[in-house]
This record gives sequence, C-alpha cells and structure tokens, in this order.
Amino acid sequence: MSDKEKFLGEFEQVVLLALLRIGHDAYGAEIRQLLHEQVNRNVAIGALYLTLERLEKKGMVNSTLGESTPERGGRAKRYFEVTGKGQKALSRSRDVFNIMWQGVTLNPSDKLTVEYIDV
Amino acid sequence: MFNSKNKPVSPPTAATKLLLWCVPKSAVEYILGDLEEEFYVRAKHNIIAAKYWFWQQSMYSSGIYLKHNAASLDFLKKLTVLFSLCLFFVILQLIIWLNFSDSLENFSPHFWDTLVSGYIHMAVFESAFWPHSIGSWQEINGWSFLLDGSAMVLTLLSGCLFTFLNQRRKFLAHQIFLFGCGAMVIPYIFGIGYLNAFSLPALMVGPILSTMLCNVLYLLLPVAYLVLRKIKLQNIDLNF
Repeated sequence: MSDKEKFLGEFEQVVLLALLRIGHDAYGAEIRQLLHEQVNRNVAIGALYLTLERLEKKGMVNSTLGESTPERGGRAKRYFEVTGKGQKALSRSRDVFNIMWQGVTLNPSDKLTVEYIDV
Repeated sequence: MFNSKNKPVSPPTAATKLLLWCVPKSAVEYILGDLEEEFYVRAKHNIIAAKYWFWQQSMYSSGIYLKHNAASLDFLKKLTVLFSLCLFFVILQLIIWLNFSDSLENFSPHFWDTLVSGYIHMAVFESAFWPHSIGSWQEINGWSFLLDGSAMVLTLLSGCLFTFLNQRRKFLAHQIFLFGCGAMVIPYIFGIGYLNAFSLPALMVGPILSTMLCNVLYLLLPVAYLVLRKIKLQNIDLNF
C-alpha cells in the first residue's frame, strides 16, 4: 500500500456500504434511514453529509443534484454513488480487517484472547 | 398536511432558521429537503415527536457544521489574513503613537495609570487615540524607531524554538497559528505582569512597552506567511 492510500474510517466504510446497498439514487434521508434500521445508528444528517463531502473530495463518491419534490418543500435531492476508487478502498479495508481478525477469538465474557499463529 | 385543529403542519421555523444560519448555502438546500421529507413522514404518526426530532437534527447538524467551519483550512486562511493585517496595523499605530505623541489630551483621566501598568492595548478603546495616532504619521522622519533589540532577541528565540519543534514533529497549519499566537501573547502578558509587579518609573516603562509591541509586530507577518504556506501544502495533500 502506498503512503498516499489512506485508510477509511469506520463511519466512512459504513456510509460507502450503505451507498452500495441502496445502489443508484441514494440520497441523505434514505442513507440515514438505512443506517437507523440496519445498524441502529441514529446519525445527524449534517454528520452524514460532511462525511459524504469528505469522501467526494477523496474521489470515492460522486454526487449529482436531483429534482425538487413537493414533499421536500420544493427542495432538491443530492444523489450519491460509489466510484471505482471508493470500491477499491472498501475492498482494501475489508482485507485489512480479515487479516487482523485472523487468530483473534472473542469469548462470551467479552475478554479478548489472541491465539498466536505461525505466519 | 394538517394537525387536529386543521392547521397546516410544518417543521419548526426557528430550527429551520438555525440551519440556514449555520450550514453553508451549498449544502443547506438538500439538508433541509431531507429533514423536511422525513419530518412529514414522522408527523403522520406523532407531530410533537416529529418536531422534537427536527429540532434535535437541526441542532446537531448546525453544531457539526459550525465546528467543521471553525476547523476548516479555508476559515483559518481568512482568519490569518484578516487577523494579521488588522493586528499589524493596530500595533504599528500604537508604536507610532507611543513614539511621536507627547500628550494625553482628551484621554480618560486614569489612562496614564493604565498605560504605565502595561495595558497599552487599552489605548485603542480611547476615542482620542485614533485622531492622535493618525496625526502622528506626519511626525515620522525615519523608521529606526521600529528597531528594538530585546524584541529582536525574543523573536529570534521564538523562531529557533519553532524550528526545533517543527523538526521533531511537523506542525499543521492550526498548530503553527496557535504557536504564533502563543509567541506573541506570552511575552506581552509577561510584560504586563512585570510592570504591575515592580511599579517602575515612567521612563523605564517605555522600553518595556516597546519590546512588548515590537515582538508582536516582528512575529505577525512571518507567522501569517508560515500558516498560509502550510495551508497551501495541506490543500495540495488533500487533493491527492
């Protein structure tokens, strides 16, 4: 991994995965609801958009401005989708986690044990 | 959509205004749209809970954006330019006034005590200060009054400390800004404390005031330059 390839934060990964789950036409309210329903995480819409803007600056998501609808008080939607760079970053994060979880077992009393394995 | 009294239901106006003030114009359109959309869905079940939820969202989101804007490089850039230019002008006015003005006519009665206690910055709040100090520009016949040996030593020490710390741990723009503020403010406060502790005669107060002000004057522009250069480098780093 080159020095320029930064790791994704936990929330960034969750947001990118939510975008991939929704597919096309993912927008703020929809992503927020998905996070609330699927991972019981009630995020502020501002926090979600700041994360999406940061991901867009990094080139991991693209956004387009959509149509305005009456149920939104005539305000437009902003749709997001994950770019190839975003998908690569997600895949890299998953690989890192897969490697780091190898040999780690959690016992029921929540105490962490590590089995040393030969690499 | 209408409530039980047949009045139209709408999101709380004050919460909407709060968002309009705190969230950048580029983002407020779709943030408010998303919140309104979810508000109307929630209001079908419970209007009070929906309003509470809207308030909660707008307060959290406003706080997040305010914090983000305060910490953003763009804000720091504007703050650095504005702060350094304004402060440079004010400090220069104070030094010129100290050197070339010889009366405290029209100043408040206790201003002399304030001045010899080291609270030189209080002069800018005196209504007589600005006409006096701007008038003092005509008296200037050379710029050697801006040279202060003690202030130069202090500035040099701050520069050395900065270089040493920056080599050990590369400072970010915010950290350079804070370091610069510290290097300007700490000797200034120390000067005030010294003058208050020892109650020196008026003749000895002048050079100390001059050192306090010149140190700020010497540091201002180099610190601003370093902060702006670092912001530029950080921005380039972000775009990669």
